[in-house]
Amino acid sequence: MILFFRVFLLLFCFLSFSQDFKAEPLLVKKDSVSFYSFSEKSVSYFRFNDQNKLIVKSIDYNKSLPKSLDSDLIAGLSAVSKKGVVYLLYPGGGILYRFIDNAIERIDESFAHRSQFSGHFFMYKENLYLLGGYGYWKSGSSLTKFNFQSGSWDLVSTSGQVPPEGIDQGSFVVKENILSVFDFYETNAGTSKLNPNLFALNLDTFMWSKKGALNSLFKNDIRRSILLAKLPYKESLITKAPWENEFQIVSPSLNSIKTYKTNDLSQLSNNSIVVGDRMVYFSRDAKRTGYTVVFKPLSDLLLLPSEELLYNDTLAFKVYGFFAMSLLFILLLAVFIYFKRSAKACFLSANSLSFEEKSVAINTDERYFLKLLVNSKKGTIENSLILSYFKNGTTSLDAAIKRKNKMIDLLNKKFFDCFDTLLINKVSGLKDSREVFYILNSSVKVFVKES
Amino acid sequence: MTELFYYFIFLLLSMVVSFYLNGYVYSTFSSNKMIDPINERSSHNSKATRSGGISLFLTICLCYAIAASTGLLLIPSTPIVLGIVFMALTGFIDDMFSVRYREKFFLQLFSGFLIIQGGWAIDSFHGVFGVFAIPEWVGFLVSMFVFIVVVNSLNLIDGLDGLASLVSIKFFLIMGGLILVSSKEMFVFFPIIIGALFGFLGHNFSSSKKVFLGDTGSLFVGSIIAFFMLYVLDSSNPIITDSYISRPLLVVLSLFYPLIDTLRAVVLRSYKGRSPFIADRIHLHHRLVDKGYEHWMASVLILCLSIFLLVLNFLVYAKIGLLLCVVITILLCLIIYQFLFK
Repeated sequence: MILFFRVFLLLFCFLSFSQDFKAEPLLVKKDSVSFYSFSEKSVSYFRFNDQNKLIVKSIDYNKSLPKSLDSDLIAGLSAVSKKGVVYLLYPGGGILYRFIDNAIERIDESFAHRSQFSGHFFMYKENLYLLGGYGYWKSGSSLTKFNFQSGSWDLVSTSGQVPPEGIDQGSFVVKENILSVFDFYETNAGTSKLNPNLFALNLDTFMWSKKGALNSLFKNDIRRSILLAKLPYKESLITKAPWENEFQIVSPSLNSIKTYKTNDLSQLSNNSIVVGDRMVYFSRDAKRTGYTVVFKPLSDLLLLPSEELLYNDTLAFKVYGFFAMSLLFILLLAVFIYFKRSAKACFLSANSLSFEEKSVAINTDERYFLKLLVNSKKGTIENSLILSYFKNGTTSLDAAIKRKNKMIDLLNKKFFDCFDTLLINKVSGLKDSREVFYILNSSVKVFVKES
Repeated sequence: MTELFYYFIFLLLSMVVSFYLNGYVYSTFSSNKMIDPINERSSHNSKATRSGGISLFLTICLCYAIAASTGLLLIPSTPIVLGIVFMALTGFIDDMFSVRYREKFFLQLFSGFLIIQGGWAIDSFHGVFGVFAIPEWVGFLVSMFVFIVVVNSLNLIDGLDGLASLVSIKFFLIMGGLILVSSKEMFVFFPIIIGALFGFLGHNFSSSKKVFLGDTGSLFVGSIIAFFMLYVLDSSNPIITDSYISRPLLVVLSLFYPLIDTLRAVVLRSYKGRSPFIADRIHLHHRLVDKGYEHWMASVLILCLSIFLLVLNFLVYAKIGLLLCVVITILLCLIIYQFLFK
């Protein structure tokens, strides 16, 4: 009996908590009013009528699915559609299917090479391309083009500023012939790093160019990027993380990133699409065993955006530039004022008076006179003091005065010729105007170098 | 507290620390008779020490430690720090014992190798000669060449009061703007180094207690400049000016005078059959001084002219492209040269 209860309890627990998860059907946009939903056995055609009501028609496939396509893999396929034909790419690249006349058929002669997971599958001018992706522990930047004749994928050589370490989990927007690539990771041996640049690939010339630095809103978090819903919308991309109550519309051609607040899009996923101006996605039912298609008009969601620049947010750079230029200007002004106001520091040696790399030769009399000036109080000496030096028993007072004046004039002239400033000024006494003083020019400072 | 507040705090802190340390280290050198000898190539005739580099190094280490401990500043990878410290040590030994240029060259190669191991190197020509991505080994060789040229060019122009510091301040101010956008975690370094150079300038311009950068300073600052050049030229780093001006042109214009003067000196020395590594008075700044300019005047004039060329290229690049920008810059240089030295 105890054993019976134990088994019963075990089975009860198992049956109560186990759930039958069905793989989510794949949504593919057909045009601005209709879309497909691919499931294991059938395809459903959805169409919005004039009253904005959704009309659905489900048809079983004409043929069984190709052997290589496991029914669980359908939601993992990448799809593009044009004129009623849908191309479906196997995860990682290589195998390509075409949906036409209610049947999915394999059209490639390739194999599942698994080196371009998360690459961008797109159509340009009737050609199918696959760009970047991750495989074998490394991301790449290769661009391959499907060759409808041979059924193989040909490598397209690109030039210019190719993203050097590859493109993993990127965001892609095509406008005219420009494919903008941003918010992607460079993955190598298990480590992923956000490439913080916006790149553009010209799809006619296959030339890459770097457009600038991404907004700092893009954080280095690859786990977030993997779970991020990225839905092409006109010439922009709608992005939303499942746990956040806001979404962004990123428009590289307008250099804009608009953020909108919402609480309604919690079930948005990478399998969601935008049809016309409606967001279409699956909603799980209460038992979480089935899905229903729901749609929300974008007009109800696009309210009160906050807008920023997608790349080259120059505001911080301009503010910094203003500060930097001001700092440089202040520095130059300070240097200019400092040197204009400060005295020239000249050095007096045994036979020269020098400043920086220029010097004037001086004789013994001049050196004596300058030493007197330097050692005097406030660089001032009386005429009588210097005159006494020139007086000696053999010469008259008149001759001594002449010799003194000549020496001072000559010294001043030599100094002026070399340094564009006078060395010595002659002034009268304040108390007695007959008194004469010699003053060292205030813009010159003389230091005596002892030999 | 805003980030701006911290930037000002670190600018002021490093300025004050640098000014104090420059005075302190000067006194220590001076009292130990470690004075820069006066010879025929000397531009000074008073007592001067080559202690600026050590003070600068100590200031940056101290402020860096404080900034890193606050979490504001990212410490770059160990090889980069090792490479820069190694370069500063090489300069210090050169200041003390005079290292021969061949030995110094090999020590620079080793330091460059360490810095390139840090993870940033030139991996693209960014459209110069129509070339973009380059093979890794070419990138390594070009990065090494750029490192050697930059480090030596700053060393060579360190011959006038304030010249190397003013040129470095200009470079760091420009790089700061670029790094602010690409890596805020590294930005605090710029107020620190600019403040340290301001503090040094106060002593470098002094007439009585003169302090020179010396080889320690010029090799230390030169290796930091070279690292940031490699950082900007590494195509994986986002640079805000990409849509305004080509990266190689921007880095050349940021360090225009040292590069053009080094190129001119090497060409002239080789033309005259002399070794390009033997020092002489052939540099443009020496010629300016010989023309009668005071040191500060020559330094400020060189700085103003290099800022003018940078701003001009910034304004016209988007309209006329790389080739014409280079042609116009060369023509302007020739005109300025004729005007100054006719």
